[in-house]
Amino acid sequence: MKELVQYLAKSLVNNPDAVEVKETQGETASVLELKVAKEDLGRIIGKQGRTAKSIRTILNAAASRANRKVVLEIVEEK
Amino acid sequence: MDYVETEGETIDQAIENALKILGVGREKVTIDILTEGTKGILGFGAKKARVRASLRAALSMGEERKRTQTRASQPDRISREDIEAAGQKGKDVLTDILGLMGIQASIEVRRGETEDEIVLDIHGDSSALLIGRKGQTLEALQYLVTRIINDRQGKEGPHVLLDTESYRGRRRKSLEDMALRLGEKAKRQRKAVTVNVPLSAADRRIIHLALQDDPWLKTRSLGTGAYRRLLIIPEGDRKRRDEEKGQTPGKQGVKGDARKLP
Repeated sequence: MKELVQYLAKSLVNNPDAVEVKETQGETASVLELKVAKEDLGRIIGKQGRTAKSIRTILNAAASRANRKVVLEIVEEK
Repeated sequence: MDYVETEGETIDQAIENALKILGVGREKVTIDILTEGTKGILGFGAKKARVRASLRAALSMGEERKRTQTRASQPDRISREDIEAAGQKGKDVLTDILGLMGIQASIEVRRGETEDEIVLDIHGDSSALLIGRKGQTLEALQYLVTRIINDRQGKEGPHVLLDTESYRGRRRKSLEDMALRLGEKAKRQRKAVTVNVPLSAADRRIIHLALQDDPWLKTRSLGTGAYRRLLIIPEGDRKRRDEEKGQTPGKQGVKGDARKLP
């Protein structure tokens, strides 16, 4: 899951080196925290959240295969 | 700009109310859908649909038609090489994504229905998972692949489409069937019918095209973003007039013919 988000994020942004994904695994669910450079936030979210929504949709499809739940959080850097 | 905001049980009714107030025809106004309205349960929690109708600065029908025609008839100047390169790039990206999703599949690149389309057809045993509810997973994959390969220059590139197990074809068929059914309903009731579900631009296009040769119907999309809806409008007055004169419908002077491309 982590690698999937990493791959998608790195492919979409201008600064792939700034992409960070942190995974917190629970028993049946995981939380993925995605951090990108501030100026790339728009690329990850997309117009009306379309990109973010698409990433979550794909993530959910992949997770359902492994019988898990995955939550993607996009974290804004201070 | 002059406008009114009206309510109605449905979007269609709200539009009719607005036209009554303004005292003009449907073609003279621009409709913005403010809220869609819900039926509620047993009348509780029902919300009315709200629309804003603004008088349109005279953009003549002729002009509008010409605009859509030039767009439709002008072949894109995207070269064959560009399309093939996009297909190859798309295939690579999609292979990576599917691999990371843990899905075993092979991807076949084939040419689309139009010059600027290329289709990535996914063969594998997980097509139900890839399609998702109402095709949303396939849609999401297609959108991301497009975003990733299009280098974000914002210019119009080749259209990369994703398909699996002929999903696109089945979807098209069911949209076309729905379009014809709603078209009949609009004609029967002599009232505009709204396709009251959010549809993607590609899905709306299928419906517009399915009904474009019907001289008694006009189609139009209203609203923006998630509220954009397709409206199927019967051209009732002309029908009645022709019937009274005892003319065969569909002969001379029918608007629908002008829309057909040579």
